[in-house]
Amino acid sequence: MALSAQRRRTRRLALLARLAATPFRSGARPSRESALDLDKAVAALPPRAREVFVLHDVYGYDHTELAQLLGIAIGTSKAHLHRARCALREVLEP
Amino acid sequence: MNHRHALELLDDFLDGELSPALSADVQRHLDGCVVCRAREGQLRRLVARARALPDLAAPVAELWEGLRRRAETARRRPRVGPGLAAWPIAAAATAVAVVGWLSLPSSSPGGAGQIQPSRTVGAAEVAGHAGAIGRLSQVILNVGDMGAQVAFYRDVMGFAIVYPQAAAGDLARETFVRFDTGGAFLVLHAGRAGRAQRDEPRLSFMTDDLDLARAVLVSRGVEVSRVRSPAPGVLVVDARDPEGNAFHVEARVPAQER
Repeated sequence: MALSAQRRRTRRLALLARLAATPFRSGARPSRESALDLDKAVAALPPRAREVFVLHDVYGYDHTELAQLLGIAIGTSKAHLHRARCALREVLEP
Repeated sequence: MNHRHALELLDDFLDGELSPALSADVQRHLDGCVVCRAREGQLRRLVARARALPDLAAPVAELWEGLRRRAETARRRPRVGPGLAAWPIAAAATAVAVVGWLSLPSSSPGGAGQIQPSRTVGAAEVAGHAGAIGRLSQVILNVGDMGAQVAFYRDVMGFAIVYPQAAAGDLARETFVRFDTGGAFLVLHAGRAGRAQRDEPRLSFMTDDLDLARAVLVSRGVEVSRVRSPAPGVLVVDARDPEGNAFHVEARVPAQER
């Protein structure tokens, strides 16, 4: 039991470390204007939905990883992503 | 599959989280439902834009800062086993952090915290690494009084706020404010070994007219040093913001005027 808790903890810290090693995106970029629109819309999201959206849709983490990284249930992670995408969709394509 | 059910499953459908059978069900519904197809298109465009989000995106920087803090909190907890024994205790407060740099402990070789590389990088790729890390885009200053520091960098230094949008209001309760200064470089100064851990990182602003810059700062009540020349062709004045963070304003003298 204790070993399992330690494994989970180690895995969570490993995920954080992997995140630390992830360089910021470069290369193909959308137009400045469109990026700033999205930037602003993301900034307006509730904190948890924003975290989940950025980690999932920008950095490509999956829900299992997010659940461990953020200490939430997989279903909760999915719900936050759904909420974030709905809000962003409405802002960007009214 | 009914319309409502298909809409609920769209996120998982796009992310490839559904079983093949369920995924085929959603696809069949999409083929016959113009509303759901439009929604799917919107979501796909949104995700494509998110994937290409540039590094200057404010929420991303803010998020990294939050995760860095969380990582530090995790590190301060008592260690739970021999696997984590190699994790060093790091300075709790870092005056200036570069975005993208997450202050995390390194793990011992073969230890439980060992991070395996996700792919093998060839020698040629390593040799041609120039630019792989990206550019230093900003310097982060941890502040105690956001209201006062915003007032200084906005009103005294005259930088435009690019985040948050409602920059005219009271920003004292903001957790993250970004100014556009026109650019940023990371500069390492050698020959100061005795001061390496003592001197805080310094913000450096480049001006075309040092006398004017100095006069502006003085007129706004900032205590500014006299102009000094630390190197041939380089002129600087030193000052501090209200919380004591050192900065200097620098000008370069063209060679023919030296």
